[in-house]
Amino acid sequence: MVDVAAFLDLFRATAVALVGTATLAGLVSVLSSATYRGVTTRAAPDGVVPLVALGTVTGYLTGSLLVTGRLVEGVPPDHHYSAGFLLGTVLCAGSVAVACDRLGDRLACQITGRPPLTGDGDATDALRSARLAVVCAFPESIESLTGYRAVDAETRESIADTTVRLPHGLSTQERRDRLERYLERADGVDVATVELAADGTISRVAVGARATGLGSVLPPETVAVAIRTERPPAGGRGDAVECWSTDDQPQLVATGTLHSTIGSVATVLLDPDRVGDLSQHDSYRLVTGPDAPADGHALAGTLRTVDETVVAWTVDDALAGEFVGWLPGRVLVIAREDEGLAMPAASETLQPGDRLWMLATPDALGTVDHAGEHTGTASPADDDRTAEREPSEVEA
Amino acid sequence: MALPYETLIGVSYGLLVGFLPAVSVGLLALVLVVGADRRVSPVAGLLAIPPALLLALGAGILELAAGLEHAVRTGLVGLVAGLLGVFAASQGVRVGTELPQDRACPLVRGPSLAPAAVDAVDAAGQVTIRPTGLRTFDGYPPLAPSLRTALEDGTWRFPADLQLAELEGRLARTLRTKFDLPRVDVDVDARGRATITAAPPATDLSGPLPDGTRAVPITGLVPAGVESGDEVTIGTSGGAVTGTVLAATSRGSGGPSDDESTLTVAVETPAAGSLLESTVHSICVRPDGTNPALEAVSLLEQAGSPVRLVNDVNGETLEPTSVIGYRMGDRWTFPHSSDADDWIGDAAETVDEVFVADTPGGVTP
Repeated sequence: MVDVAAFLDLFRATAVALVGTATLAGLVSVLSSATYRGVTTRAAPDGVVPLVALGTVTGYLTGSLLVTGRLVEGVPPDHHYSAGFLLGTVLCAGSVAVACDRLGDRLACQITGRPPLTGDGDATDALRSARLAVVCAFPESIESLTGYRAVDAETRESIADTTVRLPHGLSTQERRDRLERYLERADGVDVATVELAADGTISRVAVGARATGLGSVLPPETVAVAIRTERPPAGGRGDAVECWSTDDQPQLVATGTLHSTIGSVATVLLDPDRVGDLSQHDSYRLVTGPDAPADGHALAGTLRTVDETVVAWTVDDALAGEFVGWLPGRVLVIAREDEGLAMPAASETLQPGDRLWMLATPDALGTVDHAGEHTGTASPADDDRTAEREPSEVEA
Repeated sequence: MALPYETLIGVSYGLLVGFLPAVSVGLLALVLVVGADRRVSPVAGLLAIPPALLLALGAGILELAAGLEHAVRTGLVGLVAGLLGVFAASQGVRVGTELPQDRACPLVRGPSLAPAAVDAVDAAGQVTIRPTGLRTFDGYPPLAPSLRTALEDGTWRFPADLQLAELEGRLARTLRTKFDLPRVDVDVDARGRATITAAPPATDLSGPLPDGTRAVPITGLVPAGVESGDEVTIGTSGGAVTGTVLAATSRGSGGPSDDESTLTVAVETPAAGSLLESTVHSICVRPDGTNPALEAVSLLEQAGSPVRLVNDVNGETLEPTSVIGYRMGDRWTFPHSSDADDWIGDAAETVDEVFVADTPGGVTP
């Protein structure tokens, strides 16, 4: 005969245990998923929160089993009732944990005011990674990049001491790329390099600009003039041309290089002394000369598109005696006592007073501490102002 | 005992003792990711099996003395604990990567764009911000119609994985520098629409004049490509005048004929008066002296080694030491003088273009 009272007691104990453990699991789930959302701004991955909640519940049950030797009073552990009780507990607590995971997540979203982002796709991933951001602060002084024209002090000051927020999950390389691209979008900055310290903060920033305007593509000791031509000249950039007058007795007025043509107006590069012979009120005929075109302007144009750049250095006592091959770049030409040495060999020795033109990347140039002039200084006055500012900061 | 009963005991007690070791293994994987930047493979989750078996032994379910009788339940306890451990290890690694880890840089949590803005995000990960409202600050004059139209019709692209505050700051900076506005305030809502409050620019000129100079408009034939900042020499009936270009209008929009355009040039004050009174013979642009590449090229030409661009590499034999740089596909390589000999070889077949300058005594075809 079944003892009804004992059975009812057993049933009540089991029910209380089930409800109690399920409630415990639910509570732990809500707290865990809300904290996860609050700390990382993302929803907890599926299954993590139920795992933690069930771990808590089974931890308590294991503890009580080890201490008292029983799961349910009056039932030995090696019995189908205990096993069934365990399965039922895990099932109930597990379902409650899953439901409370979602509940906790929604609560946290409501409290922080950021709606959950559901869905896959790169765009949604991008939005998700935006919410937790790192604040990157630029250093107090921005340096100028060697081998490029200097950016004016105003722009550099407007960058210094500002901050940028970038997504937290970027690798060091990605973070550096993003910072460099951010700087290059600023007005007046064409090239930027950023160095990050080991802990991810910005340690050094250098910016430079590429020269624009017609004056920056003119070879030394030439000037550019626009003249009217009676018919559009044949020939392209870099061709040697002769300018003939178009009166009754055509005369050769000047020779130069053709730069560009728009309609019947041609831009020609000439010796500065010959400019006085041409007038913009007269019209001329341009005859393309027989000389083969030189491709130096093509090299200059290509160099504007790559990292490498040409710098002009004067050899001082520190560099005198070094081999050309030791320098960080390729030396194109050395001007030594009014003579030009083209494409010197790597074993050529530098003499004091030489002036050399070297092709190198800004990174390589930074490795040699050359105190001589670096190109691209906007004006001497600009550098003086920058030099004066640093000491006066301390006084003010 | 019968297999169904053993299975029941094994699975249920596996669930009992398996979760704690699995959670511990997961925590360990997390700590390794955060502390040592090492990602363990999920197989490491099998480490949860020994502790689980020990717990089961302690609970009295498994007995060493029973030997093979408890084989089934032992195996099942181990299986359940192992599965839970593997799952916990993989999730531990994932949680570790999502936790905020930067110790040096401060972290900021802020709102991002809403899912409704996903349509405005293109394949390159950039979002297009469009203006919805344009306002002016109190106490400032109203915006010029051209500026107003430019702001209302403008669209700006920024990376989509930025917070709203960062998008607002970047857009404000872009507007301030592009339109020269003294004061700009931007509000971007979650859908990617911007409300701009702007104050109009104070002056028209691109910058203040240097002391002792005046801005003079010059009309005439202007060389192509002149921009503000270029140095010019104006040849007039009263002599040559030098100055710096402040602004250049495009052809056809100024001057008596289509070919002429107008330059605004900053010249020294004494010369400005005579410039306005004399006729202009020529406008020529001087080099600004900041192009060492062109200096080097012209020096090479004077030294007898002009720079040449060679397209058909196979048809010529080239001295390795005369090569300045070569292009393969899209990439340009400029070899160092000490490894000038290395490039020739298999690479010579695939090179598209080469810049050479003949070395003294080198072979020229």
